[in-house]
Amino acid sequence: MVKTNKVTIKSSKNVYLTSKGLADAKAELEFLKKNKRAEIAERIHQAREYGDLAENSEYDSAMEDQGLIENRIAELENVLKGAKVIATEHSNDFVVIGSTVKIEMDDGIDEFTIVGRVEADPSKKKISNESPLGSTLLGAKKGEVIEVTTPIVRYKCKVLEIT
Amino acid sequence: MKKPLILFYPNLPLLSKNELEVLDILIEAGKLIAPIYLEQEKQAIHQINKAELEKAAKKDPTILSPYTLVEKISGKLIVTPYHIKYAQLLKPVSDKLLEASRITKNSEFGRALKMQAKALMDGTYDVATIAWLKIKKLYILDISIGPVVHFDEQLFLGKASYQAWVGVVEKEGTERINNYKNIVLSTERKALIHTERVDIHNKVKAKVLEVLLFSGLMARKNFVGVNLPMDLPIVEKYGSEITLFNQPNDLRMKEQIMPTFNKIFSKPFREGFEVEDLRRATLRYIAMHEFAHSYLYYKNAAFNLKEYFNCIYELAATILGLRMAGSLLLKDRINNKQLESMIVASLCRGFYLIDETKDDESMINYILGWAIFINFMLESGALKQAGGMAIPNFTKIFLSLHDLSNILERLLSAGTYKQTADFVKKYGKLTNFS
Repeated sequence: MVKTNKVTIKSSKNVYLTSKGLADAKAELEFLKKNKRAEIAERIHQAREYGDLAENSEYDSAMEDQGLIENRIAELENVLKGAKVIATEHSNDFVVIGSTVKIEMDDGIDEFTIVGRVEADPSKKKISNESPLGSTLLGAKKGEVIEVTTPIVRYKCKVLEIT
Repeated sequence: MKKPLILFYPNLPLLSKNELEVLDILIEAGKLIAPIYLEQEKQAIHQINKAELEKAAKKDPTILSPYTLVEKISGKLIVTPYHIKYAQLLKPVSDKLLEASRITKNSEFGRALKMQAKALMDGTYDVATIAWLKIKKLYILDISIGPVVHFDEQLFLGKASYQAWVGVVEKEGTERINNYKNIVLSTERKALIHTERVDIHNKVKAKVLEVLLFSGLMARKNFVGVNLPMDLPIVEKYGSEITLFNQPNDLRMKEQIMPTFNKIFSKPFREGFEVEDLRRATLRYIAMHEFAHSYLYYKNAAFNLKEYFNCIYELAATILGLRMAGSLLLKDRINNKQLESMIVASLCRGFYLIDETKDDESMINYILGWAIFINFMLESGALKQAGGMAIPNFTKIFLSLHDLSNILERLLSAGTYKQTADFVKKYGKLTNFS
């Protein structure tokens, strides 16, 4: 039986990255192409030698990993194709991608940086410019109160600081 | 009486030979807790009443220690520390823990096991609790064993219940839950009265377990999540740890959430939700409930609210937890459907408790809390009932959560006993549900 790996590519539109994010993405792509591909190919080759591909867990596992890696390679290539580097120098008059924003919302004070979706990690205080909060904040000025809405949640959000 | 012991058989990650050996011993130790809890249940039938206990405590305050058994013998109250009363049953448990501590290759885990073994035999529970909290690096094996105070355990008049769990850390789930934790607990939430609140939100650890054993109280209640310890001075100094349980969550899904879901929601509504969505949502809303506790430690709340404290405190955590989940949505960590699923799963739990356990006195705080929640939603129009079915309006529910959360936090921070009693009287009725 011949197994094939499907590659899913996410839509390619402008992807905002910091210069570090761009360098990281390029380095990861190079590592996956040069090292990981060869490593997986070797695992598949060895697993084939165990015989009977229908009941060969090492072969299945290697094929699964190959699929994940090819997906990631395709995703990174796609990201780099549409990558736009965020300017390190930006105005603090209003919120742009790359701004670090301090806000007051839902009885809490929060601070985070607005980044492109590829680098977004809310647990590390990096919010995607495409998230409901990130997209609403873009263009807001210090002291401005904006309303962040989703079909369920509606919050008033006051911009306290922009750096 | 049914033995309070549940064994689960999850798929485990690859464990070393040493880890498997230790795990076997821990399971043996956990099993030995069931007869002790059974003994506690038998004794609870003959226990003295709360008023008598409080009267006697004026002369001897140690009578209220959570780790003592109070018996009436020939008209006289006799107080015996747990470690003496149950010494014979505890010795083999302690021996098993010592055996595991000797062979484990994880020195921090071994040290905590040793402290726990000692605590069971001499009552130094706080020392053991601190040893567990001081573990720096999360170890793949996990156990909690001994008497523990739980807010919703009313059977023994505030006394600690013997319980045990044994599990293996689920890496992916633990990473996910810590990711949520970092998002929701990194916000500086305003306290209604700042000086009244103990801030511990930056001292919280979290993990998800594949569970192999629930014993004692854990088996009776089938908890899906816990936030321990509950002793405020210890929490203030050493923090707390949230533990979520995968297999007990599956069991709750099967026995409570899904049957209630099918009963209270219409078919077209149900078709919008997958079982897996609800399973994850149940775990997620419980995680948020436990995180929310970190913002609700008000110093005088237990004293001011007296018997209503547990009900208000637990409900406040559920409501604030759901409210905080809104920030996960706004930051793209969860989507609309996942937030809706959390609300649906929590409503199912509420309706289940009200419907199926209303005569269980040990659950009264939870039942009352859920009745307040549902009545509040009905009054605001966020939830409607028609033809025996519940119809939620998620946008209105979220607005009502905000209002209810503010009322509850006000009661916890500065509410009087009378204000709380009036609030519970107004919204705690169990008769409004068709």
